[in-house]
Amino acid sequence: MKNLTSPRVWLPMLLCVAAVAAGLSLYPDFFLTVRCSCVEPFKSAPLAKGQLLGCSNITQTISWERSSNVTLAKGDVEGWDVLTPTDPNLPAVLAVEVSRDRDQAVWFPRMSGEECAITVLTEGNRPVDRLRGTAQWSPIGARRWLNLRCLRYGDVDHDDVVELIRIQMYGRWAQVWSKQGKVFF
Amino acid sequence: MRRLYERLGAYALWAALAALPFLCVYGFVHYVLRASIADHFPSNGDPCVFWHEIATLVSVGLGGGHYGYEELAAPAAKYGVGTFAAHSMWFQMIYAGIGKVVGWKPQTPVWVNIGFLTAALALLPWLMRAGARYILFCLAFFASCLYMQMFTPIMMSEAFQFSVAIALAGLFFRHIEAGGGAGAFSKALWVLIACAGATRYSWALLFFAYHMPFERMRSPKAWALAMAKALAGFALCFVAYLLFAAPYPYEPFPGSHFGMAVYASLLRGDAGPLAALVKTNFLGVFEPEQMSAQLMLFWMVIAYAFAAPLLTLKERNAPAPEGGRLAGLAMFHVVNMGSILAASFFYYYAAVGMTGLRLGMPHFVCSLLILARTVRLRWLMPVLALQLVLAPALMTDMRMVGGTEYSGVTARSGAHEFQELFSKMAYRKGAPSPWCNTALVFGSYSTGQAFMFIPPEMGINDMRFPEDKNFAGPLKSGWVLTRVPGARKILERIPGLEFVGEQGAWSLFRNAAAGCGPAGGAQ
Repeated sequence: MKNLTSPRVWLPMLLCVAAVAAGLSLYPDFFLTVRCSCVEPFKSAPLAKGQLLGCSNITQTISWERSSNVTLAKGDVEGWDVLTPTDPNLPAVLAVEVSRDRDQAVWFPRMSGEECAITVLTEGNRPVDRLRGTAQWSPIGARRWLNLRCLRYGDVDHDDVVELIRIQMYGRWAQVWSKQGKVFF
Repeated sequence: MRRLYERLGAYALWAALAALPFLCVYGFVHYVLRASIADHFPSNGDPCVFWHEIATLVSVGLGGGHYGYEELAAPAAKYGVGTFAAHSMWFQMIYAGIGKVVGWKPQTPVWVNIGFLTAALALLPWLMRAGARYILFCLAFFASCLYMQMFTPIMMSEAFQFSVAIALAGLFFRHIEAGGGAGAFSKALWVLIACAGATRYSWALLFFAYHMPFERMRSPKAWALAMAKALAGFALCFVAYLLFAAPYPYEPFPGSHFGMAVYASLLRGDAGPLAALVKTNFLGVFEPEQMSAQLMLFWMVIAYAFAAPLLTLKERNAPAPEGGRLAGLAMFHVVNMGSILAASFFYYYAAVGMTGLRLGMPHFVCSLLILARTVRLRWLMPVLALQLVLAPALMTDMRMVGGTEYSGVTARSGAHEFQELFSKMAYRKGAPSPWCNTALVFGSYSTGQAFMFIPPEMGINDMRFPEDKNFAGPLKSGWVLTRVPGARKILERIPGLEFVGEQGAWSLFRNAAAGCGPAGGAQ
């Protein structure tokens, strides 16, 4: 107890507290940053067997003008389409405008082959999710969660209601499944 | 027996410190970016240019083309050798030496950078004569230093500068401890400052700390002699740096080497350029999407590094020899941190975005490592605390930077848009001028990974879209590339330029007016 009153003890502690307080003051939302930067990226569950959802109530539009090298084809499941690269040698970019009225959304990627990859980018080209294919086909209906709150962290304009999400697909068998023009559920 | 366990423990910590760079880079790339080190493919401006410059040195030595901007060449061009851009060419030489032995592939820089960091961290405890507590502090600092783990491995020469900072810290500690006469260590320190100063001349200011007259601190004659030696050392590095450094002609230092135009304007009574320099370097937000705000806090840490020796001096009512050593250390910190400030007025951006971090971090680490050996570690806990608090913000930025740099699949698939066209640029051995082996990228700045597909022997020059709508050359480069439709129209009317072909958005011209002879044709 006597030691605590010594400046050699309390002064470094006080400086630590000051440093932490100064650091925290720089963040608009420290805990959101921690979640988006240090927690979400480590949630790397493989594409496991899941179930396709029947419908989506998220307001969204596929922006074909901002998309490139993407082909829409009929999927193996009734009512579902697959979006896939037209030229498998080039990356395909699927641009989707999504209303950001909730925290999380689900989407359904599917891949086969180690050369396949799918990257989700924010409007500011910040990667928020990245998947790589394996030798086997991933199961139909395997879900991927996207934290919509994390999309805007770090970008200049935080107030837009509509978010542009770019999904980049590489390889012949990289697919994003959609239903009635909707990608996020 | 207890002593044996203690020694084994210290060795285990030492091994952990040496292994830290590889473990951290591996963890970051595999678990955060979900890529592999083999996926590394330089994609952003600087890493691409640096990679290509080194590839040129590996392929043809100094017989490549000119790197730089607006077709401005370094003084060495007078001697008929290819010259390099605003970062000179000395660190590229070091990487090229390694590349010559192990080969130079897109992922090679990451391994070389890990190697530099590993070597420096392995040497540090030995140089510092450090015990377990010091190594533990270093482990805590470097393990939480996301900058070192995420940024330096992909950015030549930052890993090299970081390693230099660590080695300098160890050597300076020995040098100051011995009162300026540490024999082989002092000689090694002089060589290291000279080499580091040639790669980044702010290091050369450390000659002023090196030549400090420890034993005759109150002798004006000794001080004058020491300062003369330091000035000579600095001048040596500065000239070596300048020799291969093509001028950087863009704001905030237009048309000059190292801001000399700014000071020439000042002498003419125009303080505007200097005010613009100060605003850009210390008040502006140069890279708003990056760490500028956080950097300002880093400066607070640096200020703290100044305060620490003073705290120590006060804390220890030191006897004469110890007090002298501490005074030497305090002087070292002033010179080391002050050199960043000094350099900021002549070229570098000190307080803006990642660029400022690149300059500031090595000097800061150098000071911190010496402080950690000389003051009680509790005074340095705020540095660790601050670093931890800043880690999430750094993680955000680094994921963005790293995400593009570890995307070899994307880069290689995108190459179909220009690879065939770029391969038509043929290297001409024995060409009358390095300009014959220079590809000018006209009308746009920073083409990123497209640089990687320009043949490695060619130098790359950038020329921005001309403000003069009637621009009609002449151009010096043997080859001219553009991907800007408006720029292509300008090129089409420049006499001597012959259209070679186009692919994707890119068009290639051969400059018959460059005096490279009729054999300079496309393959």
